[in-house]
Amino acid sequence: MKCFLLISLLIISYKSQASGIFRMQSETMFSLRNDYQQKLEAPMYEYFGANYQTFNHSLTFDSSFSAYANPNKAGDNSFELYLLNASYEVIPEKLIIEAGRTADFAKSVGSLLSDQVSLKYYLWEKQGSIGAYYGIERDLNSDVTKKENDTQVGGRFDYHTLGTRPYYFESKLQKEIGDKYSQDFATLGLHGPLLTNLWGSEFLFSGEHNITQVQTRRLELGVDFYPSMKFANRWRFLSYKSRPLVGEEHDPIFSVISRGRLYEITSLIDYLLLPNLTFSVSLSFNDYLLQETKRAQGYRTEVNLNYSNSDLKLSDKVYYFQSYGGKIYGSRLIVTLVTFAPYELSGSADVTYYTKITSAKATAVSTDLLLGKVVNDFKWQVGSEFNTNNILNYDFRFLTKLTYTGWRVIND
Amino acid sequence: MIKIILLIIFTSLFSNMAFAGTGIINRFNHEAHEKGAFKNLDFSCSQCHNFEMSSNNKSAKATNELTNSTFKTDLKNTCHQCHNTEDLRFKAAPKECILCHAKTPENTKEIKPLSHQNAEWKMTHSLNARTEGSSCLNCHIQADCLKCHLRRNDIQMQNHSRNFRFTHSVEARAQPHRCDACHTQNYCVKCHIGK
Repeated sequence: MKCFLLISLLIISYKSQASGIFRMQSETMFSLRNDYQQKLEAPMYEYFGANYQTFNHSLTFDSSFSAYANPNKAGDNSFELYLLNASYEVIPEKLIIEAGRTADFAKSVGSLLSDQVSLKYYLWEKQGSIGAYYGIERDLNSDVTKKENDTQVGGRFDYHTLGTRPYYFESKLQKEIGDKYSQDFATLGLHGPLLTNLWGSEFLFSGEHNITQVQTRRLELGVDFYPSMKFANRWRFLSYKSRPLVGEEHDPIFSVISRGRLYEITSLIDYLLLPNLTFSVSLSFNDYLLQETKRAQGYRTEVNLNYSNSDLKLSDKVYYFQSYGGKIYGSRLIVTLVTFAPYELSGSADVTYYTKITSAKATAVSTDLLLGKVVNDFKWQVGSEFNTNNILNYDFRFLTKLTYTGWRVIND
Repeated sequence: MIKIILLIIFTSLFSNMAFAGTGIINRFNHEAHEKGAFKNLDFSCSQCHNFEMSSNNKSAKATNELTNSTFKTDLKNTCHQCHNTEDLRFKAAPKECILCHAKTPENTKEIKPLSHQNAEWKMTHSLNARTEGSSCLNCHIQADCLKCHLRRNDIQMQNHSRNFRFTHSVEARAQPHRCDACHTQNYCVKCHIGK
């Protein structure tokens, strides 16, 4: 780690003559609330991200850090994240080297530490590139569900044509090596125009195949139509088989979830009703064709209305969802007013009725109201949240949040 | 010659007034561009304007289009010919939209692409990120990705509403690939086995 930091600093020092842009983001949050046992808790969260990139993109440096602390509640829900990535163009317009480390101390889902290094070589005036990568992932508090080490090594190739409507192709071969297993994967992607005269149509193909098990994990075909500048219609066809982490599936959770191959068809429609008003509809039907009927089918329907101008942002979503696990009906409304800048007022209300296969029936309501003030690069928000559901009849939460987003030009 | 000079003055004044509302023209440093980029790229005035300076730089020679505008095209395309292109000749030209379009980061919302306002953008942006990822970096930094993809924070819910806790079992049964996009199976097991 120290070596990596040193190399990164050397690279930055060496390239500091090059003009670039430095950007930073920070979010600081504090909340006061009752937990599900009606005990008072006061969690805090800090997220910080920084990026430096030269204007010619020969050097990029990314770092992120986050920490969550809940002083009244030890253990399970505290975590930290830190990430450090750097890319450097070793040979201008030809060869790029990238290296980085991500540590995700998410104690509620396992702690991961991963290091990766990759090379990318451009071909044909950057129309294509070949590359190779190596990564190692370590589970910091290993348990039965995760191997201790997982090495990933692979090669990739991508290519795109020129023009206003280019074709994109990408491919990857990857080997995953764990303590007890080794698997090979191949992924392919293709995206581009379909028929110029047919509403500017575009297609996409994306697939992931497990070579070792001779099984296609994911296959997605899509067609997008753009009959006018205001109208987009997307179709997606998906075949999907979920992938166990290490070839094991643990009861009881996976005994109630269908593990067969899923087939799904989705249609998405976006229509620009007015310059600032978008109407969207999403319809999905999915089926585990080879499973018993009672565990087979699901539906998802969402209708969205989005309005946005300089003073008002409004989003309303009505949704219906059904699977063999139950049915959900709901509506979520989000409104943000900035008519009295630099202040802004935002609120949301989400009402969900659900009935589950376990015979549970309830209505869950979640609402919040936030008052914000924008001063230069800072935004400060204070507000409260009220929820009611089958676990807590009255759930009040108070929140304050300070956001900073800024940039500076270096050596301009 | 006097007519041409008057025309240039008039159209320049008119053009500047038209652009002043955007504030962008005020941030354009002509001198710095002349000494740096234009000189290195061997650009003449006619790269952007409908006139060309004489060899001694004391007079301007107009083209027929000068009667319409001092610029060959609108301001947006004039800037974007170098600052919003994949052409390697202009690699050194900054592509970061915020440099011209926003006084503060809050203002970047004014140039938010229309595609981002679509309700389905959340579901479909991965394809754009994979194939045209460099254009994302004109406005975004990696931290913007991580905000949703690599952090967990239950103080202010971002990816799921607060009610999702009560309904996720229904959704996970029918569309597990949506869960898989961010979570591993460990995420299920940790709560449902009780470890």
